[in-house]
Amino acid sequence: MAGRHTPERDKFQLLLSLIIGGIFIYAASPKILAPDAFYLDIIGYNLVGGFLAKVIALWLPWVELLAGIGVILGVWYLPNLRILQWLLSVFVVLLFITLLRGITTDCGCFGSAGGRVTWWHVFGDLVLLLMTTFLISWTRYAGERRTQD
Amino acid sequence: MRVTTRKTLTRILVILGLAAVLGVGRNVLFPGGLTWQTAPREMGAADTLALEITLEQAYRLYRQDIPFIDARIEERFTAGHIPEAINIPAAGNFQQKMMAATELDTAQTYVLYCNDEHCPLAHELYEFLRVSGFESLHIMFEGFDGWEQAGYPVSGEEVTRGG
Repeated sequence: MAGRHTPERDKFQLLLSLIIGGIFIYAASPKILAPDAFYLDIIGYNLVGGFLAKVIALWLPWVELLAGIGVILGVWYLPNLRILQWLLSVFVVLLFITLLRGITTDCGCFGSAGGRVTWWHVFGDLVLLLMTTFLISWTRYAGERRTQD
Repeated sequence: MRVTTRKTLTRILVILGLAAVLGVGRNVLFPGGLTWQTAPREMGAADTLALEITLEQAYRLYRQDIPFIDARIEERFTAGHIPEAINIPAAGNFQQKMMAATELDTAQTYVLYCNDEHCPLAHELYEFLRVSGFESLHIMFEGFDGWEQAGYPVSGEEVTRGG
């Protein structure tokens, strides 16, 4: 069902949207339920501390949740995809730096289920980033074609 | 700037703003939220900005290799302490504390602890380290006794110690 701001999506796009949106909703839920645990995960990266870590702990999970829901429902589809693309880019860089610094810490990706940061996390986020970028390009291309038609 | 780009940016800002409102709302209205300022328990100094953390939170940081600082005297530390903890006796003289502090990274997060929730040494050491420029400090207010009783790992000459 296409909403007011929903671009037409074929089955493949819809499938990718469900996967990406679902992962972000799944990732956001434990962080929203236990922001104090997520705060400690952020502290574990040893990049930000104190006030900024608390702001991120309270704010980021809701960004993930809203954007995930938006991508699945197709509401404000492109803006939500853009947000996820930016988030994934930051995550990839953050995880990469953390591994290079030799820091052993919990990922915080899915609450306590995320495990320690490994190169697999970087790989997983890169795959999601590629999928998101593909969806953005496809949506823009389809939009331009409709305009020309 | 194209109209569609501006529209996309506006919507992104709306989503980010809504997330901020929901985050603050959840923190205020529901249990388990973060505190912005916590006064030490049973302490007179209410101006501390230390985040007191529970045993479970401390253990989570321990598993992430966040260093712990034991604020008790050396004898207590030798008898039993959290593995890999650094001993900076809060009751020690200023020069000793300064020397110990200069060997540490002020940007690193540390967890401070004393014996139990009635022991003021972790809070005293916290005040000293804050003044010395340490940016991210936490106090495990249940102290070493609580840690040991919870069955978390300990090292030292004695497994159980007197108070």
